[in-house]
Amino acid sequence: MRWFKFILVSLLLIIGVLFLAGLYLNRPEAVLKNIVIGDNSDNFLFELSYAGFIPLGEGMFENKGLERLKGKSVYHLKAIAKPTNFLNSLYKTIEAESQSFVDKNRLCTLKYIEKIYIAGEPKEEKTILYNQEKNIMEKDGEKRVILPNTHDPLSLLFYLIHQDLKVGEAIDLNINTNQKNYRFFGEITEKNIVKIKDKTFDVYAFKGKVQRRSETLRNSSEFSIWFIDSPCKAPFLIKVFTNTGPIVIRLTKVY
Amino acid sequence: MSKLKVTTAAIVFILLLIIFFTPLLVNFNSVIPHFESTDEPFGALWDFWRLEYSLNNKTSLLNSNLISYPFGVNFSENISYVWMGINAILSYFASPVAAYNTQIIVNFFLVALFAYFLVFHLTGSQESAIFSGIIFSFCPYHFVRAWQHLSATYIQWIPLCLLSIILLRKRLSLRFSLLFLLSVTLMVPFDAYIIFMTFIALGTYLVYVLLYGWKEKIKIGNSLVKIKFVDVIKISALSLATFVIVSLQNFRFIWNIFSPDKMPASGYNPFHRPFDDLFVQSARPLSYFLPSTTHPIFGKFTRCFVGSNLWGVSYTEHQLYLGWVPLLLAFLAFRRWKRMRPQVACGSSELKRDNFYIGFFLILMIVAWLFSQPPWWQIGSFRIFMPAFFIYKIFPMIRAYCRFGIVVMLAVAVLAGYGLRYILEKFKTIKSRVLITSVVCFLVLFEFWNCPSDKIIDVSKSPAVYYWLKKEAGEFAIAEYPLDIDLTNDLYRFYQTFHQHPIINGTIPGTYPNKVARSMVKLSDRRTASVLKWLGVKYVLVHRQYYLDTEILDQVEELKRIPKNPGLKFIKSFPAESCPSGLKCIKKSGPIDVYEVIAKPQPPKLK
Repeated sequence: MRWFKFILVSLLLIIGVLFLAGLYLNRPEAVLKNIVIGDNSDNFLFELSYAGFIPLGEGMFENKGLERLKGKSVYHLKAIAKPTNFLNSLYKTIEAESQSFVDKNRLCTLKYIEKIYIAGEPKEEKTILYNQEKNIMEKDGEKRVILPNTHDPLSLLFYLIHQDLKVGEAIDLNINTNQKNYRFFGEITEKNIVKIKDKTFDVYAFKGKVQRRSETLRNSSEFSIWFIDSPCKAPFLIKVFTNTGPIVIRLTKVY
Repeated sequence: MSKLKVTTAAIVFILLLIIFFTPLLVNFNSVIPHFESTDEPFGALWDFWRLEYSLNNKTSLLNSNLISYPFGVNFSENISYVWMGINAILSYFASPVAAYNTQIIVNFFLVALFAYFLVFHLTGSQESAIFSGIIFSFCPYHFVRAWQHLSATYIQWIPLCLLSIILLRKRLSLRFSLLFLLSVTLMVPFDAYIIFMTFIALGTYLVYVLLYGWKEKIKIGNSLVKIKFVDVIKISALSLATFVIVSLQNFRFIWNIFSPDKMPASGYNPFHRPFDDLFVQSARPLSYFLPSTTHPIFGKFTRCFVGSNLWGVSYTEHQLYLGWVPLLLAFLAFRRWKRMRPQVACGSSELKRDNFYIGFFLILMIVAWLFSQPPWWQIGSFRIFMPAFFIYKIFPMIRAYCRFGIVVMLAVAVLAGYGLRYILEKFKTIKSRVLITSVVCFLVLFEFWNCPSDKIIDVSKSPAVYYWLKKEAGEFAIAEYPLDIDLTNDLYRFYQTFHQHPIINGTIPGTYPNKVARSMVKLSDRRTASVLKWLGVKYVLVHRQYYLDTEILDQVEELKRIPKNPGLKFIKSFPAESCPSGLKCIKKSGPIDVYEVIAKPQPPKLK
């Protein structure tokens, strides 16, 4: 029994130390020190972790440039997320990929594709078309009413990083990638100036919430995003409290 | 146990009832307990009203065409006659709302009282017994059932049955046999899950008795084993005989269980639930350890986990919080039990008793927790099967295994009572014991607190359209749109208690009336108006907000097409209504349009 108590206390201590280390290392100032900022500022590499200290995987966000979609000029955005090798070994190899086609002028989504690859299983794919003029989205033949200037997660991020941010500025956007309309809203709460390798950058903190538009307790998450003006607003630290717990997303490279 | 002690305990429980239910007690005939996910109580209130209506109009209590008009519904397939009788009498002599609230208040009191009796018998401690009664009755699980499932508030029979079997084992006398028979008789009429959980608890006790001290039994020899075995057989036979006798009232339900499947497995088939439901409605790791979502301070934190595999998806079924204070005290009891075990053989009778019963409730806690788990745990490529997987093959009507959380709660409450007793042993004066008990009771009530003023809904007034309907002369039926073809809209049924006209809504999936309803989903269709006329519908109520809330384009477009149906004549529109500030109410509604059906009647054409 004594050895069991010893192991339990040791485990709790280790978890406690790791948690505190995670808190320390995931401060905006600490994250900024390790970012590699290149010239092209629309592409990002991220690290994802649970509670700030359990590695979950990595992600990539890319702007693949302008393309044509149904006669319109659109930005083609792509994001890929992969769990760590350890997590893959526990279950199966998983990879998630999202693509968004964003109206060049309004910066809201016209098409969203999501693919999930699980080793040994059929690929899951969904495609959603958005008609922003008629406020309709279509998925698997079912049409739903959306709100004006609705985004998907990629187009929403793309929209944010191309805005002029000011302290006190409120942001209120619509997001829908599945069925229900959600509200993404919050406020720029502070701005600081930081120096990284002889260059100075503006850093903004944005705190907000995502929740369903309809009156319901369900499906809401709070988040904080820190942006660095590099020159567009690269999100270098995202902390979101999901229904599985706290997730931390750190930017590691802008290229 | 003196009368003074029982009276003191009863007074404590009544005081707590007053604290938690003052808003209800003050408006006994106009409000019911309610929270954000409440909908089924409206169906229960409708049922009580239907019984009162049937008695007043001398129509059958077992069949009614008030809903699913003109075909009606046969309630005898799935009914408890005893409970129906209680509801009918209460509704007839008081009111449906008073009948509902009376059962809630009485159940909370009896739950606390019977848990008190159980723990007092086990521990001999007045303070522990009151403490355990408070934990078991005022836990979040019980409150959530008061807000959503009336039948599931009848959990007082679980500690009563356990107490009676414990007494019966102590002495196989006529008095205790009658008590046991009475306990089982009282348990059967109300809720199938409570019957199931109680029998698992009783079965666990019998197996525990058989296996307890098996090493010593083998050493002592066969005669003692035989004596214990015979006692267990007698008790088992008595349980079975009692159950069979009192279950005769549920004969139709039991017959349907063993009949060939008439309907496929579905959420609406009470005899055969979908297997996937077992995963959705089983306990999750954090369900037991995170405070209730209704807690004014910690609830917000728990709500972050709703929808995840860590806590669960249901605001009703996954409220299984045990409380950290009860868990801590239960842990103290466990530690004491571990230390006392080597000394049991040559210890006092009290030591042996404590050893036996703490051991039993620890086992019961584990067994109930296992039963509350999903059918299997998937760990990598390994699958560990749980009791739910096997029981589903015999009883496919059981799906909400998370409800075993209340048996876990009972075990924790009893163990916490033991833990408190061991703490109080160190305090000699009555003052200090009362103070310690008060402090722990306060801490538990803080953990289980849920803002009572917020947890009621006014059911005394409906939207204005239903008062208008009531004044309309003649005998006719109503149709409420959008039609509830997949899941009964309990509010539609409850609104009927105000206008008192038959409604075509409330059809049961898989039945002919439901097929007819499915052919009439589109109110903009000319044929729908003709079929409505054939069914005897004069007025159609269109709840515009329900269409808009779907956010489905087809539904939004349908709303625009309805006025163009030549078989319908627009009568009037009732604007949206809201509740008086600070109080939830069923009067709140979106805009409702009323149409008169003027089409020529035509029967439905079903595929």
